[in-house]
Amino acid sequence: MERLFQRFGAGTLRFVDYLGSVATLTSEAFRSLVTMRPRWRETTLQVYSIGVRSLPVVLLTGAFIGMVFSAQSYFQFHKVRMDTSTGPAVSIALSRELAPIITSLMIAGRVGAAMAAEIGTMRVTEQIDALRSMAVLPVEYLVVPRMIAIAFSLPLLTAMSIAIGIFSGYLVGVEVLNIDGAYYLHNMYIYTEDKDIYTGLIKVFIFAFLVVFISCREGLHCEGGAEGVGRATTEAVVNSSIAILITNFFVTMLLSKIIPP
Amino acid sequence: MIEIVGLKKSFAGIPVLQGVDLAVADSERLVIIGGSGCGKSVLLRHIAGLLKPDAGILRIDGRDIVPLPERDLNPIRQGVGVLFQGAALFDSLDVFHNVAFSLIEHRAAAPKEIRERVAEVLAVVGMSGQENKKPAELSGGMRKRIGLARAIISRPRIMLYDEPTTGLDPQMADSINRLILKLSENYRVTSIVVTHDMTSAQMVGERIAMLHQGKILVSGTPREIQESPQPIVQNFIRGISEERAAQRG
Ligand SMILES: Nc1ncnc2c1ncn2[C@@H]1O[C@H](COP(=O)(O)OP(=O)(O)OP(=O)(O)O)[C@@H](O)[C@H]1O
Ligand SMILES: [Mg+2]
Repeated sequence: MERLFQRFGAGTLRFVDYLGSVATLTSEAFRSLVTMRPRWRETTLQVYSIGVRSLPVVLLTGAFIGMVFSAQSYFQFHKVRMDTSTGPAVSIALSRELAPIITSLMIAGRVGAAMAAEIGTMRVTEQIDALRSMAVLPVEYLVVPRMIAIAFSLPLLTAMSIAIGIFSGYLVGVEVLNIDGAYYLHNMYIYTEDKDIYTGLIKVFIFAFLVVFISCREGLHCEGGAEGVGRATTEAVVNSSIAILITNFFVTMLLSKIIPP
Repeated sequence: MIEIVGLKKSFAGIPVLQGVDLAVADSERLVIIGGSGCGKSVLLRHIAGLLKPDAGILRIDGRDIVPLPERDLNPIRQGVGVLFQGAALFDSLDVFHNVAFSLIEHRAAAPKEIRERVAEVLAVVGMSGQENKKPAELSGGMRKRIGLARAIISRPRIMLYDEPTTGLDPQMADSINRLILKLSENYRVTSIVVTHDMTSAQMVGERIAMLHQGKILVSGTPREIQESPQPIVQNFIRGISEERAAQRG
């Protein structure tokens, strides 16, 4: 029993420690953002590897989510003869939840893992120390460019995912399931509002920071050679994904108070 | 002037440095010797401000760097060059950008001057014309020399060398030793050299200190170390293993 409490206590301490280290990294990064000179080269490279190279996977997942959600909505609406409600159901669900979550999780997997692995390798091969020894702060050189790049790219990727999801949802609904195309679009235009789109984009903007700080923290604190890098990579993906899903709920509730749905 | 007083450091409860006292005068060349795993690299990393000790004082030019936060260390670090044991080259950058790194980052020179200075230090370490290679394409010894070029390009006042000659052939080792001497004599660079290589220690050291069980066991001129009455020192410099020493009685 006592052991159990001890275990629990140690676990809690580790968790608080972890949150502390992510928070420290966050505040250091924002501090550097305003004090350092911009690093265009590193930032553009990161926009390319985070944003541009994620495009195929984001478009592919967006399209298939739009398609399956269109089909599922149709199956239910069809029972009550409201086939054309499929249009707004797809566009609103995609804009508010599906595209933001799926895109962020894909980015956590693809980009978070890469960040943790790259920075972790630099850490275990003393490259981080080499940076520091040359009076370059790792936060400025490694974290801030990634932060800018992901905060810039993720909302754009999400917007593209929403667009392709709506388009492919339309194709499935209208061309495959024979919903009336004119009414599908008409209802979609009437019921989908700007705020449905931008609440989704506000959310992913926040998730971008979760992914970059959790993943960079894993890399910077990585210890123990190749094995440590592997562990850091896994942790980065798992922890950012969990953080995204938990934060999503609370941010959604909060946003619903500020911008009534 | 570097002064170290009572420096202590443990990792996960295992003590590595147990009260190191050491002073290095300006433009002095100090060689630190000691068995593998005795904490030489750890000591050097403390001097570079890369590790925080558990206890002790570490003054560089009269200023204790132990309590300084990372950002405040940067001005001091600009005057200190470090050659890492494993070279620690940035593997995403080619040789040119590795060597030019600190000049580019700190905007210390115009692009044309940077190119000239890179060519100059590459010539000094015998790696001329290798600017476009990636670190992965280089041998261990070549990486070490690039690491050295990267450390000296910003003309630091203090140089920390972690095993500069390991992994080099004897001729290359000799030229690196000469380079350490030249930097020290021509530019009055304060040098701390960690090494196992006794030839190198004898050649570059004005003073040799031996680290043993977390403390500086002895320190003296190469001659004094050579003639030290301490059996631990004698066994180390003559390369007599502990087993053999025990057999001899
Ligand atoms: N970051 C670290 N975490 C845990 N232990 C460490 C760390 N760095 C060094 N050590 C331990 O400290 C001890 C001294 O290591 P150090 O690298 O200074 O040895 P060394 O004298 O440089 O050896 P060598 O001559 O083989 O390079 C070793 O036992 C090592 O395991
Ligand atoms: Mg070492």
